[in-house]
Amino acid sequence: MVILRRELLSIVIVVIISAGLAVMAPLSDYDYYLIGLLTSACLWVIYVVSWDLLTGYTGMLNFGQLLFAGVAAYAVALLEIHFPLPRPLMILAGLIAGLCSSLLISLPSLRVRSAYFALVSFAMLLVFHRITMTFIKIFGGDYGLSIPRVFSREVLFFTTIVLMAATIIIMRLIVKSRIGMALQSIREDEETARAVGINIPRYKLMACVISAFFTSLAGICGFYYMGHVGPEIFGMMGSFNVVIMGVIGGTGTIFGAALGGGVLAVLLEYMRPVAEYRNLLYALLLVVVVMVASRGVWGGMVSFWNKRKTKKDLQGIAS
Amino acid sequence: MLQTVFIFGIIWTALYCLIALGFSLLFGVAQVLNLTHGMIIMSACYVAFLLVTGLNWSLGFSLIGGVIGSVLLILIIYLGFVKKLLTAPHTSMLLLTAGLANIIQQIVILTVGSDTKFVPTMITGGTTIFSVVLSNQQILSVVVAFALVTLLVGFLQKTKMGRAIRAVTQDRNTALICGINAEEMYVVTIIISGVLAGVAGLLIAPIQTVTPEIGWEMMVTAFTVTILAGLGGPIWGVVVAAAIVAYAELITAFLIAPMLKEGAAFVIMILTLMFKPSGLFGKGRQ
Repeated sequence: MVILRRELLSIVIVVIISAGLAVMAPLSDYDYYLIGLLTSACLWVIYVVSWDLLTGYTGMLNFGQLLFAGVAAYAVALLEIHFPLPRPLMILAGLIAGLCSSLLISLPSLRVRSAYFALVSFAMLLVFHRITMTFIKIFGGDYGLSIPRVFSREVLFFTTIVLMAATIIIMRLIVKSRIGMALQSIREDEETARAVGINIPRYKLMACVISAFFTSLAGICGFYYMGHVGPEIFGMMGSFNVVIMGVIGGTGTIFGAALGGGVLAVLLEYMRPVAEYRNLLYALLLVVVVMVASRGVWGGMVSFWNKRKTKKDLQGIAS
Repeated sequence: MLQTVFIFGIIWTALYCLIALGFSLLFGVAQVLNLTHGMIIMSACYVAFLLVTGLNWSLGFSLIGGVIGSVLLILIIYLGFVKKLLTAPHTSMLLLTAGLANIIQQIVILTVGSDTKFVPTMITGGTTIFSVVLSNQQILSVVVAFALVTLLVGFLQKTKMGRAIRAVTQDRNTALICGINAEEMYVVTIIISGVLAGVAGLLIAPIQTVTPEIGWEMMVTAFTVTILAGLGGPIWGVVVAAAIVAYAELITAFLIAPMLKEGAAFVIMILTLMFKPSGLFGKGRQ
């Protein structure tokens, strides 16, 4: 409850911003281009925020965040095509598939150093890409799987916005709770964390599953919006974009990740004309941020704010 | 079919040894998981391609050119970027090398193109061993690879510098107390790693089709062999691990589907991490 009160302001701000985004749809008279852009930006925000819980807070660098989304989307797609169950059941099945994929990469890397997790997550992405391209009869190969439109664009747009707001708020509450403290202590020093009695494998698993939960839901939303899922979701660039957005926005703050995800996702759309150079530019940006400002844009803003506040306080004492 | 798997297993064991040794040596000495390793191999493949088809260089010169190119590349990466973050958290280092790997890959895609390239063989002719037809190129790869591994073992075991490198791998602080310049050993290791990556790329290029994607695959292979062998273990451990991975991949490719051979490596990676995180021959630290 104390956390809830302390985080009240940020929760209100998140709700206001989300409401503002939601209002843009009726204001633009349901312009499909705008709705599409905003939906994809919101999905990226969910991916990056979930990634931040793993990487920014627990120190498990995940190079394959979209793996969860991809597995969930493929699971729902396969059910939609071959075994049309009631829709909530199918979504639940997709969610479970996404969670299972998170177990697949987290279980082997619970007892080893966090650096190995990065490579396992990365290799997993490669393997799933190969699987979708090899068993063409099941996964459709290059073309992927497509279904006719089920939900209207408007419904999915509002769902995605609600999901985004819920993700940011829940993540924020988690990282400010005891769980978040435990995760941060694992990131800072595993030996000390173990010494004070933190069950490291349990907390790592928890972080992974929570992260996969929201990413899978977003993946399913994205699948219903596009009506399509293809092997490119397991491609290197998609998940790498999540990493870049998170790092540039600022890791370990949730808000930084949300900011980076939102802004860079919109930029991603506007950089379509120079698509060949986009990946190079993003990779360069990542290297620069890691070398110069490892705390990202949000971290830089926070430390600037704190410095000003300290200066003001000092002036207050002096006068 | 059995002979084919057996013979090709030897070829790929030799190549995986080269790929993994550079990676694991650097990981052991400097604690740097160098994600650009595969990209350096990949760019050596492209250097070979450009030199042989574009400039019509002779075999010897293209080999030397490719190796010098990859050593220069890895030195730029180390001195310009990695060195500045050696004391930073490991996440920063992984992000940095991943970013650099992407930059290399994107530059290759933008300059050479992302389509599949076929590099002509450096020497022609073929030999039949156990009724399996092999090109002389493949035999050359095996010979060069094993010769290099033997050289490396000799260097690490017998020379003073080799002993210093092993000392830094085992215990950096004690090595420092004994008067070993760890920074210098890092640079030596980097150069060795670059040479191994360059030679591996040049040997692989004519055997396999070359695309910008193989950089990542090589990296996953290198990592799998490294953790299967375990850190701080003997070099023959890496050879055994490379053989296990190579045969597992070949058998998967023959029995199930050629596209899934990375899947076999991945299964080995997961099983190792779950049941024997210190690797088959590793000592202590995970």
